[in-house]
Amino acid sequence: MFERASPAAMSRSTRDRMRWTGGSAGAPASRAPPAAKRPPNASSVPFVKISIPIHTPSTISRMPSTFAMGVSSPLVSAFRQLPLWRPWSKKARPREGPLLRFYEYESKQLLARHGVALPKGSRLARSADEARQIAAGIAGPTVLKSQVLSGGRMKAGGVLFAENADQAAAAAETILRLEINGHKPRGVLVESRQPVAQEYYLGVTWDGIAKRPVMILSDMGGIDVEEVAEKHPDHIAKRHFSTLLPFSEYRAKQLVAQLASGSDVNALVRFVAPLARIFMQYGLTLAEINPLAKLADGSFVALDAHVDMEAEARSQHAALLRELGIGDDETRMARPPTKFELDGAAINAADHRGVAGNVTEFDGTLGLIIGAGGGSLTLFDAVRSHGGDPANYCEIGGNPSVGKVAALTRLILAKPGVKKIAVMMNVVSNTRVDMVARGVIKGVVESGHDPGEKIAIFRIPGSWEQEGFKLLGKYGVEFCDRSVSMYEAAGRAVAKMKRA
Amino acid sequence: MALFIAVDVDPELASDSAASRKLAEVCPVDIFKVSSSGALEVIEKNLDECTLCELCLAVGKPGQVAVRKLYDDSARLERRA
Ligand code: SF4
Repeated sequence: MFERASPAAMSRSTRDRMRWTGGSAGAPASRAPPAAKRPPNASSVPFVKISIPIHTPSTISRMPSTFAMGVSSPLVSAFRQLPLWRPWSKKARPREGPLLRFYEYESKQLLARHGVALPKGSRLARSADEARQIAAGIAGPTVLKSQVLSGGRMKAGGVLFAENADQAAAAAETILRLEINGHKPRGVLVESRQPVAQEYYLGVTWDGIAKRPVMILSDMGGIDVEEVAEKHPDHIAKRHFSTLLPFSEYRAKQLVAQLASGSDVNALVRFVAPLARIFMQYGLTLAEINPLAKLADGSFVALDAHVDMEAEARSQHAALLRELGIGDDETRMARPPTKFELDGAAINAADHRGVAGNVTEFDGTLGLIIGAGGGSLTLFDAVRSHGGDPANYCEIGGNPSVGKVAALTRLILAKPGVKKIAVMMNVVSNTRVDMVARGVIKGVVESGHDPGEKIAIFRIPGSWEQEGFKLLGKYGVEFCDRSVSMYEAAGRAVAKMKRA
Repeated sequence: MALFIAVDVDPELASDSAASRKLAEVCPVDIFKVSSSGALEVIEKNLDECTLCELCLAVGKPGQVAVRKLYDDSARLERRA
């Protein structure tokens, strides 16, 4: 019978990373870290904190913990479990969600197109028979992995080993029936299983502080890279590169040489350089190979891969997504969207003007209508750090129509438990202050409330602000201009909530 | 019901089908419409979308079209002579 990959045997991986242990499933490899090959004069600066570089809460929810290292923002923890892909109305055009996460088999297909070596076979089976055929073609031990977008598949029994084609078929049958955290598997990835001599971590992502992509390599693969960074910083090498200049083989070699030597350097460069190119070419927010394995025979393969694409890149790479079988209407959620979120998406989809309705639901009492790129994240954090309790995170921008803002305001006010709303943005030039003011006031009035009472604060400095301020004054809404910081405005809103 | 904007069109201008078509054409937020009978209609539900662009004011003679800001003591936007 096929062999179950026991969690104990796999306990090194905290992120459901498949690892091999010298060809013997269940025989844990030694955890003694490989000797650091960093040159003695190399800087031993610990792994640099990477700030939140991305624009939406949902993106953050999908951030590997690498991103969150050193980030103490309440936003990070608040958004961890939120949807990774926005819903959209069936009738409306597909909405651009914040992030498109690829299944492992899709990530690997993308890597393979760029010359990255994968384990033998490496194909998706949608039935036990298909798994049998793939395993027969491999003609050796195989590993079968459930293709779900949820973590915890190993613990749930979604990763199994097989010695022959019949065992592979039986394993596939088991996996295909298995629901993991409410997700039905898309299929089973069948690959050859070979003895591993050494595991590496290789990833590329954005460094929000440096405002450049960063390539990260560790010779302690298979475990969380942030754990390595914390406990064994000398086992991490990183190198920034530019969005304008290609990541050259030379730079890849410079990176790899910090942790590897001999023929391994050239072998690893053949993974590093393509990964950087893929990252840039396809608008990715993360491209990761973990573990990247050196097999007992000296060859290297990507044992597991993870790719996230920026949602805005989706239409630009429609052809690629089609080729990978990713449909326009595919939603990829960490949890099903709530009715509130779907209603918000419908409001946004119903009117092409601007953005209003890009909503993520929380269970607090202060409704937020916030915007201005990173400003919305800052504002959310500011509300939380003042002790506020957001009922939602909702970005607006791009000059939404009055009707759209009004509909969104009605939605937020209809949510049980919401006592007030705060309307706050950074200084904006692409959104008219008076139009947003009209929208929120209209929404509040149509919901049967007094705008002066329901709007805790209005802080949108920018285009047509004088006209907006006239309007807000007329309805008795507390507003402020740019002389009041976003942080202070959030504090005023929270203070008002506490008095309510 | 419009909360913020009102638009007044002189009946003489509203009865001019060419001017009515022009009003429907210039307004970026579809506040004016010419019905199938040729009459000029002001679309109530779109009034609050008025961008105060003043394009409608250029149609007809000065004073024939006015946009009123209800939130600003009904301050009138109208083409001056
Ligand atoms: S001012 Fe502009 S938006 Fe307003 S009614 Fe006239 S044409 Fe339409």
